[in-house]
Amino acid sequence: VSAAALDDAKRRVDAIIGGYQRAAALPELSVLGARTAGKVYEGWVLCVVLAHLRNDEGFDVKMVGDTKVHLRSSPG
Amino acid sequence: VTADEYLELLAYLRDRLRDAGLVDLDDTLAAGLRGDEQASPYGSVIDYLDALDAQLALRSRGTVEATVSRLNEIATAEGRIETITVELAADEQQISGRDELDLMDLPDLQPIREELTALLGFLRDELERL
Repeated sequence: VSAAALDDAKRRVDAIIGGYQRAAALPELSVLGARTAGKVYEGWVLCVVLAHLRNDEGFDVKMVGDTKVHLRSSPG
Repeated sequence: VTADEYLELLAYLRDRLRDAGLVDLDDTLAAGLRGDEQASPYGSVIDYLDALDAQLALRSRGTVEATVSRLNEIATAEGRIETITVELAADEQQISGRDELDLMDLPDLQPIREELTALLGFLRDELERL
């Protein structure tokens, strides 16, 4: 990159990181960021596994007794 | 164009993230750099930004909404599945002051991800232009 382009790229970086800071203003979400990201990933993997069970293995997938999917942060 | 400028941009990115209090995020992204920044500075910047985008996706409400929508396509339920919650561990409860986290409370990071996509396009265009 040229010097001007490098400066432009740095300004874009500032905007991205500043935007993320503002969007994730809730401190608990910032503190828990990495673990929260892991749980979002876990939720998506759950979709992949359930889709496989339904589409490839012929199972019916039923959500029983609730309208929320509950995950645990701690193992087990 | 010099490799040093790409390395400078990578260092700038990492410093800005760490200065913003996102040391854990930088550590995660840096772990994927494979230690070949000196040999492949352009590729390292792109890899780092791609990984940042993936991490932002995992911290964004949009991904949770897509997941819940997909769950509703797959599963039958007494009502529509509304959200995904996380029962927090004891140390997390102390930090956050709550027992449970509703992932729908995550921020919408789509506009920021679009800026990141634009930056990746900008850097790729710069490389092709030279």
